[in-house]
Formats: sequence, structure tokens, C-alpha cells
Amino acid sequence: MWDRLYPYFLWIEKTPPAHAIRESKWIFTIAEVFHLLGLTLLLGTVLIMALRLSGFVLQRKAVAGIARELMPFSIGGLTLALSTGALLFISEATKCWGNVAFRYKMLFLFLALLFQFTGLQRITRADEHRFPPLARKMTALVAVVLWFGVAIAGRAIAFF
Amino acid sequence: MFVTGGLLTWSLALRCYGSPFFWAKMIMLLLAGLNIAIYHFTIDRRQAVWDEAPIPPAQARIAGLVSLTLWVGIIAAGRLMAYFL
Repeated sequence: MWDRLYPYFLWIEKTPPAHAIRESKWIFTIAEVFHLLGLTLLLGTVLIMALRLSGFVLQRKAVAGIARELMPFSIGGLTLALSTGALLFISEATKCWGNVAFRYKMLFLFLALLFQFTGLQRITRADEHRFPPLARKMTALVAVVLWFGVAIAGRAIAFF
Repeated sequence: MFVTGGLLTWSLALRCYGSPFFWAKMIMLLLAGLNIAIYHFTIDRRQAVWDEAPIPPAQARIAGLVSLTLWVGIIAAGRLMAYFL
């Protein structure tokens, strides 16, 4: 299936914006910096939520309340990371296509996004005693593993 | 981070030494430490007074803003080191 995507990757790499990013000395670098900032913002909120669900921090604050307050920062970080990530990607799409770490990153990203808006959201929006502590801890752990999987695979792109 | 960062610097010490972004990062780290120290020894001492206030006093907010700015700068400088090492 991945093979069949190659023509599209090649096409996107040849579009004018992708070309402009390659030509510019700074766009890629600046996009990388903002990609990292978005990622730290997102992973920070994911970690706080996970620590709260596991009972390590902010025990006296309701999970639903914390989730509501963190939401703009999670979404902001995610938006920043996704938009800058798209810029980085289009400038070297075929290189990404051939990079095994990039494939794992996309897989983790897909699973992390899916889990964020299904499993995790169900737990964080539910009443405090609806789910047993173990279920909450496991949900937190899965979210952390998936999001940090994205980050680690992303870092690994540079090594392949 | 100090442990892993220490190892990374150790492995490329001379190249770090020659990188302006490395020094920018180190200076900002130092300032971030200084910022939190000042906060602890001044306005944080009177925390009980303003703890429940929805908006903390100016000095505390400035400390927060300085911290945010410095850490954003530290991340940026760290990433930029890779290009100008």
C-alpha cells in the first residue's frame, strides 16, 4: 500500500510551496523550531493529564476540570506541530516516503490521535468514580506511550 | 535533562564551544535558574497572601512570563545548534 502512495509524495514535493521551502535557507529551520515548541506544549499537557489520572498530581482537582483547562493548550500545541510538520514534510516528501522511522511516526501519530479523541476523552470526561483506578492508569499509560512513540520515531527520522 | 545533555555536550564539547547557539542556550539556562531563585526568595515568600487571588501580583506574573520566554528560547537555541554546530 505504501508503494502506491509514492506518486502522491512525489507530486506534493514538486508543488511550488514545497519548492519554496527547499529554496529558502530559513523556512525549514524555523518550522522545525516551532514544530518542537508545538510538540513540547502537547506532550506537556498529555503528561500532566496522565499524572493526574494516575493519581500523582493535583489530586484535589477534578479530572474533567483539568481536561477542560488543558484543552486549548493541547489543541494549540497539536495545531502548531501538525501545521509545521506539514511544511517540513512537503519539502522532502519522497525522503520521508523512504524513511522507516517516518512510517512508524505516522503509524504512532494515527493511533495517538485516535486514542486521544476516543479512549482518553471518554475517561477524562466521565464522572470521577465511573471507571476504576486501574483503567484510568492504563488509559494514561497508553496515551503517553503513543504520543512519546510519535516523538521518538520523529527524532529517529534523522538517523535513517 | 542535565545528565543526558551533559553526555551530549561531552561527546561534542569542542563543537559546542564554537557554536553561538550553544552559548545562547547556556546563558538562557542560567537566567532561567536565576529567575526562579529570585522568585523563590522574594514574592514566593509572601505566597500565602496572594495564593487565592485569581490573578497573582505583577512580580509573580513577570517571573512566569520570563520563565516561559526563556524556556521557549532554550528549545529554539537547542534546535538551532544542529545547524550551526
